[in-house]
Amino acid sequence: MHAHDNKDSCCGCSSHAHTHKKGEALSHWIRLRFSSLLLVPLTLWLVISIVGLVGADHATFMAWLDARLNAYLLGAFIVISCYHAALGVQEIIEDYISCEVTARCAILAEKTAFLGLSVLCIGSIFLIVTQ
Amino acid sequence: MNEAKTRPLSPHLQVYRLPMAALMSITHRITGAALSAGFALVAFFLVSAAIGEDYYNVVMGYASSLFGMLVLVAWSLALYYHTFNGIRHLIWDWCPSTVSKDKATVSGWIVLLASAAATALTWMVV
Repeated sequence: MHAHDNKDSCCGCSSHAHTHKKGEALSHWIRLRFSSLLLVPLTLWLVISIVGLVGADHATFMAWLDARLNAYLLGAFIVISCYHAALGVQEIIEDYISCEVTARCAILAEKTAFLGLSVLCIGSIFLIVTQ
Repeated sequence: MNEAKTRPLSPHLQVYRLPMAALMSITHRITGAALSAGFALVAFFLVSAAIGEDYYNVVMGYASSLFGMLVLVAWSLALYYHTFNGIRHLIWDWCPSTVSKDKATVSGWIVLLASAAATALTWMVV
């Protein structure tokens, strides 16, 4: 997660262009693609695993997650897809919210939410495998 | 900067029928947003499993009910679509010569059919 540290003082909202630091948009674009590349195999693995686990009892699920490979892959999927989602939702906000201050606040909130969600998920996985 | 407020938006969605490529594009965005929101459910499930069996059973009960299964099927379809269409975008980024109107229509249909087939296959086989 990166800081938006370019300062501008609106919001009378006369300026509707989103200002980016030089290279910021390109790096956003690259990070979105790079994470998507990593997510392709992880996603295919995840869908098949999850569908196989529907209706599984608690012990079965715990045993599934106790296999280290599953725990690592699920952890990797969660971190990378939260990262990818945070970048993707940022793009949607930048496209549809023209007021830059509102957009900045929404992006900060959205990124905080994804950080929180991934911490919750990783924390839960950690608790389960160390139980 | 004043014309920014009065400048017309394009395309006019009320009077313009979106071509297939544009529909694929907005569907990619909609599935992306839905999958992002669905992350809350993933977290909910994992936290319940970590808390204990009673909580897990309640959440898994919802997940394996008819409504839960419908949500899961929709989730897998959205995930397959977003993944396959994402690959389509990666190919465009990597190799711009693959970008043309006709090729985009063909690859769009491949993505749609592959998503439907993968979803059906996943739920039939697994």
